[in-house]
Formats: sequence, C-alpha cells, structure tokens
Amino acid sequence: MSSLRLLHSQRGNRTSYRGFYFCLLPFALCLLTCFSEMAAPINPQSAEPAEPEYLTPVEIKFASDGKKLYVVCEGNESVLALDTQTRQVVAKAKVGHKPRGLAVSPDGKTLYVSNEWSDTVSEVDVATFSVKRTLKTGWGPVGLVTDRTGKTLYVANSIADSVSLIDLASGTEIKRFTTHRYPEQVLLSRDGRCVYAANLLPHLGPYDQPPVSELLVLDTNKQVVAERILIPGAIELRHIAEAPLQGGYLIVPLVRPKNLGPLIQVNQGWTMTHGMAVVRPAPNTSVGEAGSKVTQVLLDDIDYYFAGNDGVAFTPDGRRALVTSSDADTVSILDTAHLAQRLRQYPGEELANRLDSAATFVVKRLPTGHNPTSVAITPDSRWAYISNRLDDSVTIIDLAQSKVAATIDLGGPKEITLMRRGEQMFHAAKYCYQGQFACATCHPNSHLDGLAWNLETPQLGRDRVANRTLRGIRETAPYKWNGHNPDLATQCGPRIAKFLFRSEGFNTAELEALLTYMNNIPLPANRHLAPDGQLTEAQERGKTIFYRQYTNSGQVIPAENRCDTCHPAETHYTARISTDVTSKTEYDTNGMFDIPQLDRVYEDAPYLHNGEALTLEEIWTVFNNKDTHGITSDMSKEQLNDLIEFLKTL
Amino acid sequence: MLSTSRPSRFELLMTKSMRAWHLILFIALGVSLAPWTFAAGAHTPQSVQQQYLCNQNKYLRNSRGDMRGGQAVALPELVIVLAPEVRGGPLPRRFPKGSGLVRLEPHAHSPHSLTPGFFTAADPQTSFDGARILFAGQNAADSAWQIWEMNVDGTSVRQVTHCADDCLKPAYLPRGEIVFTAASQGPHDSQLWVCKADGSNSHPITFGPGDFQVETVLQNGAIIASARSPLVPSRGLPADRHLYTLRPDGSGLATLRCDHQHPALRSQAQELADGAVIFVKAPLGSRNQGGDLTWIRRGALHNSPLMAAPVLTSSPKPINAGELLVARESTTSARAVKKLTLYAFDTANGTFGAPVYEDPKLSSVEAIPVAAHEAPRWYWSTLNPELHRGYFVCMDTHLADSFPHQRIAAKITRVRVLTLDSTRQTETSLGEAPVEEDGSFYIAVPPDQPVRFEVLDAAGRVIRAQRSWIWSRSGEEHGCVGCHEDRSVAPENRWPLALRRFDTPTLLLGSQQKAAGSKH
Repeated sequence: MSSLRLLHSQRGNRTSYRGFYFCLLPFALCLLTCFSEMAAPINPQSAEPAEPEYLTPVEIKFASDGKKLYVVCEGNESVLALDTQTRQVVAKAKVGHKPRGLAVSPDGKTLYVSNEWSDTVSEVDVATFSVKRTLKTGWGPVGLVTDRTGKTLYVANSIADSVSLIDLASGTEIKRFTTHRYPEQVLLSRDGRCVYAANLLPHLGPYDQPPVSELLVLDTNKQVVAERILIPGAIELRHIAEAPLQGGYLIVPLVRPKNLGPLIQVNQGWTMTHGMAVVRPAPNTSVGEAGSKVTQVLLDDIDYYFAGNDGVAFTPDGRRALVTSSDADTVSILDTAHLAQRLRQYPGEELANRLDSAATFVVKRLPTGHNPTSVAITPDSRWAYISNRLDDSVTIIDLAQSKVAATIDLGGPKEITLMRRGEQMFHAAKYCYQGQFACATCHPNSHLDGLAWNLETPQLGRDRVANRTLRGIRETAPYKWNGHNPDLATQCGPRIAKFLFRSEGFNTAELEALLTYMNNIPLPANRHLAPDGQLTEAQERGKTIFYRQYTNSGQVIPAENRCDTCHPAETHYTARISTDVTSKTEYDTNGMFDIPQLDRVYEDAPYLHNGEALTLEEIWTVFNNKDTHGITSDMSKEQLNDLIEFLKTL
Repeated sequence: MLSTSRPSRFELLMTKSMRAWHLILFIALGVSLAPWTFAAGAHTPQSVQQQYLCNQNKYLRNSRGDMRGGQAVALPELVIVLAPEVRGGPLPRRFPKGSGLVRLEPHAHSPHSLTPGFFTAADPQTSFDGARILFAGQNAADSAWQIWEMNVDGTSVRQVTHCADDCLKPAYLPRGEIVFTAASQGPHDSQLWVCKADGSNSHPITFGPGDFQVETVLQNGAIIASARSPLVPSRGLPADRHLYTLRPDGSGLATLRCDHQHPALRSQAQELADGAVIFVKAPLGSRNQGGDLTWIRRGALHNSPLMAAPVLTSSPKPINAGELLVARESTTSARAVKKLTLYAFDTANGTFGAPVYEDPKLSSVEAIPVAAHEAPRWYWSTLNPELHRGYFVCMDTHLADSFPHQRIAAKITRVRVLTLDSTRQTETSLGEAPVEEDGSFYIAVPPDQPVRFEVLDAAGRVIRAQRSWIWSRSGEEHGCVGCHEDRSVAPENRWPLALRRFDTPTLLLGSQQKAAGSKH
C-alpha cells in the first residue's frame, strides 16, 4: 500500500472518533491556554507585530546635472529626490506596488518607475514630483529605459519573460519581445542603437548540464531582436553598464554556480563564484552586432567570495567601474585599464574560473550598508552613491580617495524588527564558509534559481533536486523534496549550517529572525487569474478536469490518483506528504517525494523533483507514461491545455 | 639605550608632566615590587628567570599612544615571552631555562612575571574574552612541556594537558576547545590534537608523517598548521615546511598555497584583519627561530616579502589594522647569539616603527594583546565515526598546477592508493581504482590513515605521484579538484563521471575490506 493510501485509510478510521474528539476540545483548549505562556516555543509564525514601513531603496539614478539623486523605494512604494548638496530628501512621490526600476527621460523632466506587482509604470513629473500617468506593462516590470528620443519606453517584464515597447505619446504598448526567463535589467547603449536586457534565470535546459543565460539585444531603429548573446555557465545576470568609450564594452554582474558537482565542494570553496560578463563588440562593430565576444571574469578572491553581485556603473571618465556585492555588503572598485590587461592576458575561457583575477584589477573593496543593490556615479566622476536596500540608506564613496565618505539616512524607521533582521540574514553570505553564498544567492527575489543541485545524500552524485521557491511556504511543511524537514527551523538551522554553509550558521536569535522573514515571504499576485476571480472558459474546463473522478471513458479514477487528493485546495494544493509518482530516476535513492504546493506554479519551472520537466505540459506528456502522476493518458491535447490553464490560476 | 634611540611616535605624544609622573610611578612601583620579586625568587629554582625583572627593562609601551585620524588610541596590554635565547629546531628546544611569560601593563613600569614557578614557558594565547592565557610550560627540567591556562594576572594556573611527551603551541578554538601540538617520540613526529578546555576528550586530528604544528586559527574557523613537505628529506637536506589548512575535526586537509619552487621553512603564521596571512620564512637548515617576514595578501596566489631588506624577525602578531608587533634582531646587540626585541611594524609601508619593548639581556618575543577578541567561526562536523571509512572524490586528475596549461597531457586511466603501515613504517598499496574519461575518480579508504596517490596511464606507468600524505576521516567526503590543483582555479561545473557510476565508490579498504568482505 502506498503511503498515500495508508494516510487515507487512517483518515477513515479517525472519523469514527470525531464525536469523542469534540468532547475533548474544550478541555484541550483550556490546557493550551494554561500552558501557552509557560512553554511557548520560538514560533516566528505567530509573532507578527505590524511592520513599520521601511523604505527599502532598491534603485538609484542621477538627474542629468547630478544635483539630485532619484531613489526608488520598494518598501514604502515611493520614489524620492535627494539633494546631493544638502544630502536631504527634498521630494517624494507615491507610486505602485513593489517599485523596482527607474528611468529618467532624456530631457530630465520625467521619471519612469516600474511597479513590479502592479504591472504598471508610474510616470512622474520631476517639476511637481507627482505621478502624471500610469502606464500598463507586461507582468512584473522591473528594468526600464527610454530610447534617445524619449518617445519609446522599453520595459523588462520579469514574470512575462518579455520586453514591452511602450509608445510614450499614447501610453500604450506597441510591441513585445519574448525573452528567456526573468528579464530584470535593461540598458540603452550609449549610441542609442541598442537596448540590452539581462535575464535573471537561465534557459530551461537539461538538468544535468551547466546553465546558460542570455543577454538580449534589441535594435532600437528596427525594433527587432538584433542578437541573443549567450553567457554559458552563468545565472542571475543583474544590472548592465557600458564603458563610456565609443564602441565600448558591457559589464554584466553574474553568478557562476557549480550545481552539477557535489556540494561537499563548499569545504574547498568554489561552489558558487561571482563575477561579471565582459561583452565586447567584434572589431568595427558595436555590441549587438553579430560576433560580440563574451568573457567572464570573477570578482572573488582566492578563499574570499563576494556574493550577490548586483549594481554596476562606470565612472564617466571610464577609468573605474564599481560593482556592488549585495550579499557581501561590499562594493568593489575596478581599475578598467588593469581589467583590460587581464582580459588580454587570458583571452580564452580559462578566465571564467580564475580566482586570482580580481587581485589584479580590484583596487579597493569598501564596506556598504546591508544589501547594496544599485550604484550611480556623479557626472564629474568624483562620487559614487550606493543604495543600501535593507538599511534605508545611501553610501557615498569618495572616488578620489577610494573610501567611504558618508552614509545618508533616508529617514526610514529606526527600529529593526525581527522580520527586517531576518531579511538581512537572508542576504548575508558571511554565514557560509568563505562567504560563498547567502540564502538569497540560490533564492533570488526569495524565489528560485532554476537549477537542480547535488545536495548531501547517502552517496555523492545521487538525488539531484530542483531548487524550490520560498514564496508563500509558511503553511506548506514538511520541507525538502524528501519531506524530511518538518519545519523551517529544521530546514534552516543546523542542517543548512552543516551541509550547505559548511560553517557555523545562524545562532538562535538570528534563526528566529530568518524564520520570521521566511514565514512571511509573500506570494505575488496571480497574473493568470482575473481580478474578480472569475475563471475563463478554458480555466473552468481545466478545473473540472482537476477535480474529475472519472476518465473520459467513464472509469472511476482511484482517489489516490486524482489531482485534488494530493493537491487539495485548502492546504495550498499540497497534501503535505510524500508520494511516488514514478519520477524516480536511476540516480535517485528514493521514489517518494514531497508533494509541492501549486501556488503560482507557473513561475516555478522546471518541474518534478529533479527539474527534468521543463514545462507543466512535460510533466504529463513526457514523464507520466504510466498514469502514476494522475490519470492523463486519456486526455486530449485540448484537455491537457485546459488543465494547465487552470493550474496557472492557483 | 632608550635615550639614544630615536623617539617613537608614541613617546612624542607624552607631555613633560606625564613623563615626570611616570618616573615617579616607576620608582614607587620598583620599590614596592622589589621585596615581592626577591621573595618569588627565593622559592623557585629559576633564578635566571627572576633576574630579568630586576633588569632595567625598556618598556616603552606605557608612553605610547597611536595616532589614528588625529585621535590617540592606546595599544592593549601585552603578554610576551622573555627568553635568554630563542633557538630554531625542534619545538621543545626553542626556549631554554629561564624563559617565561611576562605581562606588560599600560600603567605599570616593569614587566610582571606570570610564570615564576616554571622552568620555562612560552606560546601564550589570549582567550576570546580576554580573561585567560593559554600557554605551554615545563615545570622542571626533566618534565614534559604541557599546556596550561591561567588568568591574565597569572593567578589560577591550571594544567590542561597531561601528555607523555611534549605538548606545545596551543590555540583556542571556539566553543571551549583547544588545539595543540603534541610532540611524539614515534615515527610520525608531532601531531595536532584537540581537547576540551579542561583537557578532557583529547584526540588527534592529524594522521600523517609530517611533523604537524599548530600555527593559528583563521577567522573562518579553519586551522593553519605547518608541516614538512615532502615527507622524506631529499639529497640530505631537511625538508621544506609548508602551511596547510584543516578543520578542527581533522577533515579537509589542504595546502594554503603551493610554493614548492622556493624551498623554505614556513611557520609562525597569523591572519590579518583583511584576510591576508603573514608568516616567517626561513632558509632550509636555519638554526634561528625566525626569518623573513612574508605574507600572502588576500586574493594573491603567491607569497611576497613584507620587507625590502631581509631582517631576522620572529613571532609577528597583528595588533591593529595594518600594524603588527614583531620580534626582530636587535640593532643594538653585538652578541653572537641573536637577541630579539619587540617592534611595531607597519604592513602598508613594510617598515618597522620604534621598539615597543627591549630588555638589555633577554629576547622579547611572542607578544600577544591581552584583550577580548572575536572567536573564529565554529564548524558543524560532518564526520561519522560509525562508518569506518573515508572518501575521496577527485573532479579531474589531469588538472595539475605544475604542468603546461595546468594540465597533464597524458591520458590517465587508473589511480593507485598507497598507505603507510603504522607499525613497520613501510608503504603498501591499498589497490587501484579506475579514472574516468573526464579524469574523475571516487574511492573509499580506511579512515585516519595516511594515503597518497599515484595516477597511472593505460600501460601502468606512473604519470604523477603525490609526494605528501593526506587522509580522510571517517565519514569525510574529501573533494579534490585535480592532482595537486591550482588554488586559483575553480573547477568546471559538471557532473563527474565517477559519480554517475553505480559501482563507485571503489573500496580500497585494505585489511578492513578483507575482514568485512567487499560490500559497499
């Protein structure tokens, strides 16, 4: 009897005792009340005082004259104007939900702020610092930039895997380019001919092969895709910066994971390296024309890692570039001449794994506040400003002296709550041996990295498991694909310290804070579901299939093989047990896997325990030949499509 | 000597009135301490040890203030070792009779002996809370060196270890443990041992010949040890000493950096605040307990000298960002035996400052600040004593730093594993395992037993032989990137073929395997 059947039979037996349990209920409640204060364990799920409204500055850009710094604040859903002389916030405008990106119009009169969870862009008039218009975008807009004329806005839609072209005169989308997964940052080339879009997640591909990421190049004149620049072995492409010389090169911070090797490698370092792609145009061309050359170079040092490379900017004179390491609370100042020298020294692919490169071109590492995400440099190359996302502050770097000159408090709440501290823990790589990675490194945006990992198992090389999202996981215990961790405290306590971080890990107070944060990571709004919750016809048909009890030929589907048995709606579409859907491969030591929740499942690809199914459809068309993952062999193509349409609404 | 030396930057901070007060205090303290000093000398046989307290020591520290950003910063109290002589060679012979720990307090004008009852004492370490001192000492001429602990004022001295042979060079580990160097009369020379703060649960964490010695504990929790390399002295020369890292449970032994092209004795390693590792590099066969100050800057693959001109230095110790205390050959001594004096050293400029402390007769070495400091990270051990085997997984045996393009061109098909018979001290083979097309192999070996590898081609020829011993502890999965890999190159991201096989790990368990059969 499968474990699922066993569970159901036990449930059946329990029902006969229901009346008896009801009698005991008042007594049990009384006992619970009496003992709750005496024996209350650390339970971050229940400790939820109202959170103060932190600012959470995530993106910054200068006005063209450098007199004002615009700061997008994800936490209080605003954009600020900071006077760089007085270092005071002089204006504030409320924008949409979870603002992430910022663009300044070529004439400097308008700001565009992307609202990731509103699927809109707020158009802010700089003179009045008020929202003039709200423009509709694709799902999850993050990076955005106007063309040189200021007539067209390019917006990276992270959830829709696309880039929207918005005609700013009419305020409507006129074209949409399909990208690979999670395009987040965009940049207009200095000559205005190209827009680049960097993808956070790699291509969906074979789970036993290294990841490949992509930098999309759009031709702004023809408004077509000019090139798809592949960046092998890398994930999490972040901000993009272009060297200020004509025909200059690009720098794109990234992560180079070693997910295919055994994770014991953390002991020696190297499991997660952090660097940047240097994208150089072919001779007599610009980046984006055919033949761009990609060289990856690491920003880590031997035995010291700088996790979470995120923000990047060149000084206007081109002599320096700055890269923030958002999970190491550090900014690295690069000497571009020495970088060029290093690139000449190692023209091949070897540089991508060399840990002695940074020492040749990083002239200084400086501490920042928590989670430095974005960097902007004054037009005179004198100062760099860095947004410290989890500190509500901006660090100012004196570039002449390569030192921290000041830290500007943006005026957020002074109290640091458990949840806020927990988010800082989530982004702190210092808990890992040699600072190789933080929770956020494998879970960018508290989501997933799209990779399958060789975690610790009874034997190396076995039991590869796909990374899973951390969004909305509060009520989805147990955790881990084998279901062995009954709660998050087990998942993130000694286990993670011992087998992942290979270091001390979090102490009790830090763990409490981390769990408070993790228990409160929100689910994004469902883009496939109408705001009023009304299902489309296809979704309704899919819902019927999801809850069906009979096959197309009228055969009864056993309870254990119905969708809603393992994925019940009342518990986030997971029965919270392990079951066997015969997804086990020859490399798995066990065929029983934790049933995943289905909330926002359309964002969670790849699927199945090892990430073999690249799409929802593949779960059944490729990996369910024996009808062990629900009865699907009788379904028509249309029925399967409908089922998937319904699943996307969950 | 004090009057002839150039005024230090610290001295310059002193006002004349401060000097006058200090003079008065100095005389008063000298008078008050004199009876105590002689009384202490009356019940200890180490009269030489007491003698230094009566010397006119040059304790310059009381007058110092360090200008940083226009603000005077007092340096911490110090504990140092005063010794008639500091010798090179075996650890137990470094400090002769009369060597001992003294405390230099900011406002006392003479050193305060902390180990008056000892025949000799050395190797002080301050506890993380700054309240206690761990050190090595000999009770009497014929007793073994042991590890001791006392309060920073010299009270509550207690013996931590009870070693049959000499135990020295201790260091504090987080969560109440201690690592120390246990000398042995056996063939394996000295080894690293770990015990609880009360001396209980004492156990070795190194298992190969190599004369392992504790150097320091890094902030990331790894221990730096020095050890002989290669194992057997070649051409009649003494072997190199290299720096290694390992975890406090004895797992993960790896070279800190490879520097085989430059034979030398490397020891006295310390970690600087920025992650650089500083150490003393002496020529092979040196009879001095010192050498050139050398460092591996953070991110650097190779070490480099810290000083423009070689000066005999010893026992560097970081005290502030960019500043060390270093014992160096005294510029004023004309003696045949080198006398060492404590100096400040600026790492940014590679220059010595003024002397910090100078004794006219004794060497002043091994200075440590008496101050609370951050404990290193603690490790969760992944060892499993019940497993009775350790594992090695190598990603690609073709990777080797000394070959052109860091790659062995010949095709490697097998790996032979040699071990050292613990009783006969002879090498025996544990067997061979296949090396996959991608250069990977995965084997299980007896735990806590020295092993080394030879990689072979299809004809059975040895392509490369490891020259030093390593081990895997029970349950340890020891990962290697290559065959003497380059620390500066991270491995490619791929699934090693050896881990795709269903008949790996290849069991090479020797006599244990014969006893247990060939089950996985």
